[in-house]
Amino acid sequence: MTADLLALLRITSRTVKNSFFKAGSRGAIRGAVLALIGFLFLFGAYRGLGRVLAAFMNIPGVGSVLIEKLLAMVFLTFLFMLLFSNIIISIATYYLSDDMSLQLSLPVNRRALFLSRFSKVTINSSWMVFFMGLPIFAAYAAVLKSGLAGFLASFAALGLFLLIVSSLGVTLTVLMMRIFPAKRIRDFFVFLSVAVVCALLVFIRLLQPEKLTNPNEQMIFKDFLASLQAPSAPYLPSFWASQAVFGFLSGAYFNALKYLGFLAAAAGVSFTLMLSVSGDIFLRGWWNSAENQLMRYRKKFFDRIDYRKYLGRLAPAVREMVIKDVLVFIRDSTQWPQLMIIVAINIIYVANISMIDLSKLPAGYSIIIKDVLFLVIMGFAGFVIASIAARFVFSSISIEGKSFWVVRMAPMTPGEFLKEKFWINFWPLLFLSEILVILSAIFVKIDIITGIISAVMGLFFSVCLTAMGIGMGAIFPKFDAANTAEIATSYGGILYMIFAIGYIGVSEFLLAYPMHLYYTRGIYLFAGTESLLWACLAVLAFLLVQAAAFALPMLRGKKALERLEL
Amino acid sequence: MIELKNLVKKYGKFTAVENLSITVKKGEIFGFLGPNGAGKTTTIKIMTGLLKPTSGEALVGGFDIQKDPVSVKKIIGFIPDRPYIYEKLTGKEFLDFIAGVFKLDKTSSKRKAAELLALFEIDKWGDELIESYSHGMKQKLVMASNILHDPEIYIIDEPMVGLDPKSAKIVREMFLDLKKAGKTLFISTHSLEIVESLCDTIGIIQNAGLIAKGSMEELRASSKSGSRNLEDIFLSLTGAPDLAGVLNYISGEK
Repeated sequence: MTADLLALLRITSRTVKNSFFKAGSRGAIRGAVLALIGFLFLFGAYRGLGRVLAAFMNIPGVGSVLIEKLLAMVFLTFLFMLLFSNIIISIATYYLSDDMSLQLSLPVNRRALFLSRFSKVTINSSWMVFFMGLPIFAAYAAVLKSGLAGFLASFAALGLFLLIVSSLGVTLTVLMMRIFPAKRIRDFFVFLSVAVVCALLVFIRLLQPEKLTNPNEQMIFKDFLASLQAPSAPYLPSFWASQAVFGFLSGAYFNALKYLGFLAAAAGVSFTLMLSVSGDIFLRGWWNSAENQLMRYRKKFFDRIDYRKYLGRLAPAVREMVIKDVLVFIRDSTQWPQLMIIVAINIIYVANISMIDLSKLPAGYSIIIKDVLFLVIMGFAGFVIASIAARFVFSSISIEGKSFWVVRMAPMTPGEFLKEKFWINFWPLLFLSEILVILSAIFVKIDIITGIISAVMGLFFSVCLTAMGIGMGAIFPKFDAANTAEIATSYGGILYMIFAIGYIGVSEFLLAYPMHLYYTRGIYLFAGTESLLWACLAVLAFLLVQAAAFALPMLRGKKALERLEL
Repeated sequence: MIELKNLVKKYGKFTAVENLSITVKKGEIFGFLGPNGAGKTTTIKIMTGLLKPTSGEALVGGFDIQKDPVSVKKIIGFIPDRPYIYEKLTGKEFLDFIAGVFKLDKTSSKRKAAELLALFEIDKWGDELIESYSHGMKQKLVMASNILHDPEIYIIDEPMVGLDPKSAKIVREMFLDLKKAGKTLFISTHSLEIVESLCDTIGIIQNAGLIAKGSMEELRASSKSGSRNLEDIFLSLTGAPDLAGVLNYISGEK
């Protein structure tokens, strides 16, 4: 069995090696950029979490309890996320993978085949959580003044935790696949996993962690944490892992080793359980999924709408592309979770904004605060719009996938194709951004002029972030992506987010001075010619930036599509 | 109708197509033959604008595919070897999509789409999502979508892959009907029988370059082996396999 397992693992390692070397110098540059971004992210997470933990530790009496509870919550979140991602990746790896038929036909040990795929599932589903362990454990180690040994021992606990969840995820998948067809299960769990993540996001936001900084709220939060039973559930591996890690980092080694023992035993049991389903149960499930690939399609409400009647004014080619995009979006259930993300991001945004109360601000600071607040709100709204655009707008070219040749063979120019993609993405984004801006204006009670300026900025943001998404999506297409989330987190997707944030930052910087002049008009009746000149130049520069942010990516995107070879 | 002039395509140091020149007249069926990896699909992709040539020109219907791709796309139909199409559309919706993109009359295109689905015997699957189609059914749907917009020139890469014998016969008859209607067909295939029975002109490509071109009669005349059938001519030009070696290997002899 070992020889078979090694032979199968060698296929994976060679695939990775070949794709790495095939990428050449361009791939190396991309890898270096991604590594740098990854490092900056992990470092930022370390610094941010370190500050939060330090603030918690400063609360007399409960600081240590709070950060212990927080770690338990982190592991609980990991548990759910990992369980669902393991199931989704297991279905793809065991049941929907093209090379499974070939490998099943080979005279290799079936358990070796199963385990080679298990290693794939575990690595693909767990690597992010493993790397997130670095800043989290490092921040805890810094706050709890733990040594390197405690930090390294924490990874043993994390490793066992990952193994338990992965084994359970694969076991659950095999059992479910014995009953259900593959395509339905994957769609269902993609949806469910993001729903759970969104619920957790909203839940965490609704905890209002900022109240921790207010001494009056501490008792309420403490009561709340005490009432929060789930993270303290002593029978979940997430709790054992958090206890083991916290024990290693805080010097409670006996406790740490006790829970490490629990984790090791659970890992052994779950791994054995998984091996027990790796034989006939797995094979029967695989046959079941293969037989269920030809499912009949049942027409739904959206199929009965006559889209051509409502889109009659559009040019025929554009109209057909719009209808195709709408139908594909509705029917591809892997896209629905994206909607859930939008809902979650918006709830969090609105919840944050609604908590800002200008009436509680000291009167003397109102002008400065208004100045800053305008920039903060627009920056926040811009970031939310950019995050949504990364998911939907940037991915809208790549989502054509291997069918992109159909577009290339249609009698339309790349420019016309990009225009269609621009308009179909622009209107929903504009609608969303204006809602965000208007809600912000209402909650924060800003004056009407600032409100109008915010709405206009929302319009500019929508136009430019859509253009940047479409243009960069054409420059960095990823037609082989398995799902939209993979497109948004690709090299191009990350670059898009960096450029989008840069654009928002520059736009805000250029409007800061004119807005400052507007807020100080009551104090200094006349701003002075020089100040006004500077303000006009700033507005002019702002408009030039908008024009460039719209035109450059669209033109570069068009050129990239013209050059694109399939 | 199709004119390839000194076409060259290089991928780094590797040359996929070397100085290829082919002319196909209006109403002609041109068979493009060659071993695997000879450069057939690369040539077709250049003709359809999916790849850019390193040098040379590809004129289709009098238009340069590089300079005026939209004019070319209006008059060509392309059937690729791997029919990737929108999996989340139904067969009928895909045909509606093509009809709309090519600005066809709604009523007549609906009628024609239904006829084509019936002709290719996929009418029962018309309302099913394409993701549930087999390779052959997708191939037939792509063919139907091309006939639907009635192009002047058909560029076809491996038309028979995945087709059952009945469908293959329908396709063969369809090619002859298209020729009778004055359409030009450029067919890349490994099916020598198709080429021999249908094509007016045959081009054989090997190692990125054209090694023979002419009608079946011209190829026979130029064949050193004096062979009458295309298989022998093809093998004499591209190199016959070492059958004795294969047999020896299978029987275990050295």
